[in-house]
Amino acid sequence: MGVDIIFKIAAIGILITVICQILKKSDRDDIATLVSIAGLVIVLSIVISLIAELFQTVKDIFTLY
Amino acid sequence: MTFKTIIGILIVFATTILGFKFGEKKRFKKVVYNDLVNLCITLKSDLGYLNITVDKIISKMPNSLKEIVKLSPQNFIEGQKIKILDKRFSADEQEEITLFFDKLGVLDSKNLIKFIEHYEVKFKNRLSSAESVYKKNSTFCVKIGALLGALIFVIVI
Repeated sequence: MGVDIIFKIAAIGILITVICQILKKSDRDDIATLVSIAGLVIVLSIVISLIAELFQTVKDIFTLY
Repeated sequence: MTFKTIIGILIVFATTILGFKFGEKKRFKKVVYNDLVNLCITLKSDLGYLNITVDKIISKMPNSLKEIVKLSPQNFIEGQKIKILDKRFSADEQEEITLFFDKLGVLDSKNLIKFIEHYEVKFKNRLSSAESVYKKNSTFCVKIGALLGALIFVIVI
């Protein structure tokens, strides 16, 4: 893990936003919503393992079992 | 790093081509209406010189029209109904084209010229709307293709 993941998420966010804008301009609002949800799911799938790791670390630090 | 860049360029290029090909699907309608307008102009001039036969009408049909309308001399002689079953055209559009071909050869030359002129205007209107839809869709598909390629590249690499 490094700073790469932040850049990756930022790039995905930018691209999804641009795609949504193009779709909205072409009167395809429904598809734009689906694309933004898909983007959210993609980012969550990338981040979920890191969040799990963070919780584990917090548990370990405070010795919560 | 260079390998990744090459892969990225290839992905974006491939998806852009795919988007372009997808956008080209809308081109058929534009071609058909353009051919119909041209057919109307040719038929009108031929009728003016009373220089038209059933065989001529069929032979003058462009390939795009032959693809959707199956015309034979029986359609004119025996009055068989013409059917268009193409999913790219709406029911309304199919009916309009069917009516046009059904009425060919039924009226006398003067009324037929008027009838063709009437349909020429209708087809011109359809052509302009098909052209605008094609323009809008082709650029849209290319843009979406390129952006999806970039997105895939970012996610995969």
